[in-house]
Amino acid sequence: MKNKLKIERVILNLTQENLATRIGVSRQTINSIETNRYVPSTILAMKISNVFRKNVNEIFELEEDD
Amino acid sequence: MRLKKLNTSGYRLLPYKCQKIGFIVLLATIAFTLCYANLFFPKLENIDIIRKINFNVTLISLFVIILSENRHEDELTHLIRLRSLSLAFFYGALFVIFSPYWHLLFDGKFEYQIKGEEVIFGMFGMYFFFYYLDKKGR
Repeated sequence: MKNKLKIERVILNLTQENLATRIGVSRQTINSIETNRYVPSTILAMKISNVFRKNVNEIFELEEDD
Repeated sequence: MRLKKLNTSGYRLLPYKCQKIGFIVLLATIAFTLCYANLFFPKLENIDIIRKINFNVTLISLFVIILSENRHEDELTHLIRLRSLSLAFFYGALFVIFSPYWHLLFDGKFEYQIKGEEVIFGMFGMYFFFYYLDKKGR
């Protein structure tokens, strides 16, 4: 699964730590999602999309092999 | 002691302060081990019982640390915990299955009796190894 988390975060001028605090996870979790080493749960994906005020599909995108 | 329910995974863990207590007890048992082995209690009569109790306290402290929350407990931590537990389980199973043959291969005798403490201690060790390795790589 691809994601545009880093781009969206930079647009809002948020650090990984800031975003992590807002959605109640650790900074490592944000880093792992950004580097595609971890696919978040539905709840976390929705929390992230709420922060950026966007649809989940605009931030997370399915790939062909998913 | 009150157990805290985690919101996403559904299982319960001990609060974070228990992890600190576990580490303090662990350090105390290590210090005690060093002391009774070398310095202060060289020829006590009940040294075997003391050793046994000390080892059990070590196991309990490790168990408490494993069962305690981290400072930042989230779904990634749950995943890492689950992975480490499964790898520790595999280690335990492989140890029990292959340990007698290992002894046969390198010591020349077939040891068919395995101590449960050894297995559990090894599993705890593997758990910590994989847990902190995985966490550090993030």
